[in-house]
Amino acid sequence: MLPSPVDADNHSVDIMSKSESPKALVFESKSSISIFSGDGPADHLNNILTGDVSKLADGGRVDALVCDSNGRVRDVLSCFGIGDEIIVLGIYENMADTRSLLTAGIPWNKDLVLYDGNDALRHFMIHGEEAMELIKLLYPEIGEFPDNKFVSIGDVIVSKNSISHGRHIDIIYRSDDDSFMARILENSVDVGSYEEWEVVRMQSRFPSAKEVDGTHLPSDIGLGELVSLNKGCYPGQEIHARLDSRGSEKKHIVTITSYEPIALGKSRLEGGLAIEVTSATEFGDRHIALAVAPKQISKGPVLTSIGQEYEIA
Amino acid sequence: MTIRFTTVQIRWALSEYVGILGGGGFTLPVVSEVEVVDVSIDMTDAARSALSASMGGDEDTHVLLISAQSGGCSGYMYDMAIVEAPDASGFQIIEIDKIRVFIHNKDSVMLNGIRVDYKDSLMGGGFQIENPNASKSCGCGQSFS
Repeated sequence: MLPSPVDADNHSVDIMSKSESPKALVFESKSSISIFSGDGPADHLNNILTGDVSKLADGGRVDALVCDSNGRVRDVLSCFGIGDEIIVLGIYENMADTRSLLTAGIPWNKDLVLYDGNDALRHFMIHGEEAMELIKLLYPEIGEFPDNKFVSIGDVIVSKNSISHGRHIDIIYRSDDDSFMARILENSVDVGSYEEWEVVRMQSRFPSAKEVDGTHLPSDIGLGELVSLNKGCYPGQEIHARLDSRGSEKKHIVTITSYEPIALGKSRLEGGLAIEVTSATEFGDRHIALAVAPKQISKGPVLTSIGQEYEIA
Repeated sequence: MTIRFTTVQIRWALSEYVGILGGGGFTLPVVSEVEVVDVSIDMTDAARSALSASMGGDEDTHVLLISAQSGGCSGYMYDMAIVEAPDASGFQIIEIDKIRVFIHNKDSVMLNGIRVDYKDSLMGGGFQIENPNASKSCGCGQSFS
């Protein structure tokens, strides 16, 4: 799961500064965790994903999308090269479809096996504008590391996703290793709740299964950067190439805030344009939502056709 | 002509040992579970003639192997090759005009019911596969979903 590179500063909420820690929060993610092992997992994944995984080396990370042949996003995967194996993180709700897709096309003569790592590994996220400061608080020995690599401290993997400019860090570790949680406790760092994560991810336009539901193009939900048009064929490549050559990206993802509840689904705005609200929740006296909207809709106040006031960020 | 061939369904081991992230390794459950169906295929007269010519009298030692794997713009790609007969375990074997067609159990769901044709044309000619299981095919005809 990946956030789009946006600046959410101007609509930050109090939960980010609830402790003395840097302005970032730790969350546990219920991700789909799989391990590909055997005969050339990188080449196999490269036939399926929108990013070039073919050269994924030990210690490397590649973020890419699973799309259908119509170019719609079905999952967002983060691939970590661990020796000859690849850890694949995906969206939990989309796990069954993705795993079925990953295993159905394994060539008959390749000894390639996909393992379920959900119980064996845990996935935490540090999210916020000071995510790097927070990881350095937890791991003072950690140095700088690029987006496409991870560092390992013992059995704990730490890496940035490729498009969030240091605002989102993934931590993966063995379930039987309690060293990460020990550092969380030693440094009195708060672990955010699911409800807080929902608010934070909507601020950052970070898609979840609610956005990655097989109906949106990558650019619609802020994931266009994860599409490589130079890597050759993958499902959806023809559609993505056509969109790129014609420059016809018509939608983008926006954060909405309001003092009134924000209804999920399609909603018409004053003036006739329609938006699709994909996620919504409330915090304090306000409501926050993510919506896929025409690009003509940008920052500022808007009115719905039934008179609700929305603030687009 | 359609020939049916029955096999036993494969169930992969529920768990195998995998080493990961150092330490003692894990015992992880295997995700892969292969659904197997009895494959039937259809081959046009033109395809039979072309296949017979391609075999060049090697029917005793060689087979036609049809498979599907991830790739292409639509998700999966066909592959057809005349190869030395592989170990038959895991394959369904269909005999057409004394030529053995091998289809692996892994590919049985995707390839069941295909019709193999041959077009004698300078452009876009050769063996072609029509697949009733495909919801979408790429323009080149080699990729399907």
